[in-house]
Amino acid sequence: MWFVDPNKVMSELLDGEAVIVDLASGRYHAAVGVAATVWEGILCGHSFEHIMDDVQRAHTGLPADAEHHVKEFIVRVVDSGLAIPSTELLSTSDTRSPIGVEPTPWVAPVLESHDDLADLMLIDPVHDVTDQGWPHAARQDP
Amino acid sequence: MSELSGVVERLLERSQAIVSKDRQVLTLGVAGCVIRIVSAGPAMLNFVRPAFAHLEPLADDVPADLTVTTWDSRSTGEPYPDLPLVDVGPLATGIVTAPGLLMSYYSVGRAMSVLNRTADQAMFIVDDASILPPWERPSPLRTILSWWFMDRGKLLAHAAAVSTDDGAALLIGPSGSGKSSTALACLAGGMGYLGDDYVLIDLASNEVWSLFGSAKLVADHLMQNPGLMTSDGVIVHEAKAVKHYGWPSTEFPERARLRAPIRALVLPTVTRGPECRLVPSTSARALLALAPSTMFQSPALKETAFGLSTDLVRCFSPFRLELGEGVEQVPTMLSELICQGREKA
Repeated sequence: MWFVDPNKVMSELLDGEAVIVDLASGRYHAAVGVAATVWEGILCGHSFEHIMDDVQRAHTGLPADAEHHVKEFIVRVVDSGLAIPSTELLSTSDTRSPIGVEPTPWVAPVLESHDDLADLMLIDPVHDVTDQGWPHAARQDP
Repeated sequence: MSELSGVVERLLERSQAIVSKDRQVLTLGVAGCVIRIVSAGPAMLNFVRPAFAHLEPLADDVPADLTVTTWDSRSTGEPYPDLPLVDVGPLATGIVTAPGLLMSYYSVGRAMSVLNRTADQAMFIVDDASILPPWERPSPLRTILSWWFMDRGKLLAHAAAVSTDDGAALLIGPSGSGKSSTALACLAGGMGYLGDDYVLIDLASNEVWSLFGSAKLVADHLMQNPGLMTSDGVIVHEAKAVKHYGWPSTEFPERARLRAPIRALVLPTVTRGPECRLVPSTSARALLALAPSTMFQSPALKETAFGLSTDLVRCFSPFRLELGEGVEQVPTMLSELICQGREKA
């Protein structure tokens, strides 16, 4: 199972496409079709087996190495900082909208990532104000 | 944090005392609301005024829905607020939320935005109005206005908007996608103009409102199309192209529009192909084009901005506008799309 921090990651599923925004890094992502199904499973706290069941119900023509593709996608999601592996049941939900009424053909899941705003975040990071004070531009030594 | 909140509360009181010495007022009708900007002397008022010059001016005794007090340290001679500061880097934005308060501090220009959400009072304080970063000028008070309007279900969207008598097309996409070029091409083609970078969306009525009468255009495009806009200044980003900014809503007042019902969502994309064309897109693509850049320019209320963006894209069937050769055809294409949107509404 995996855990997605709702304070860090925002996501919306629209017509079988997931839009995912990482508030911490500024990167944002799209997951379409099988990728959206897997992402929704991760978001709902499903196990890998449960996610594969979701994929089999929502998509047709799964190849023999479908599990391998799904595992690779999940690794990419974790490496991107969108989810962390979890051994305990942090949240489970079946309340999200179904991916689609009619099963759609299998397409190997891909996480489409955009980092044009991440560049912006690097030069203009937003810092929380703490008890130590407000963030201030560090003085540059001449 | 409570100590910081106390500092800000006292600063609000101090700001009102500062502006009372040389009180200069600009009262505007914006999206059905009355916004009063009260400046200490002319420096800050002159800085913000051009962006709002196309809006309806109101008498200064009209009751205000939001009052923004603004001053700069240099022209008033008042010491900059003594806040506890932590060095974080050459550029930084800090945000803090406390009950009823939203605050941000931007280290470039030492620009502080504060909104008292319960009292509808805000303040914008900078070190020196004469050396504020040029990118602030086309869209001043952006953070405060974004926060305040979002509390009222209105989204300050990172988008452009153009219109006909049938309604408006909202042009959405990240910087460099072609929003400004498309908007100014439409203005040159006789369409109405509401904004090229930030416009206000009323989710209750699905209307778009003009807020800033500015436009920003990359230098090459402006040189090739000198009739589009008169440059009033230059914005240089290290990682991005040089952009000129100007005031097309003031320069072409007959084409400035203050509000219009949204009829179409359009995602411009520069393809440099043999033609310009409209291709059906998806709500997810529209959300991807709209939400991230809108969210990251709404500090402290990113989640709200994401939710409002989602509500908006659910209402329309978006189109991708591929910008290739023949950009002069775009006004006709978008006018027809707006007309179709009106017929469906």
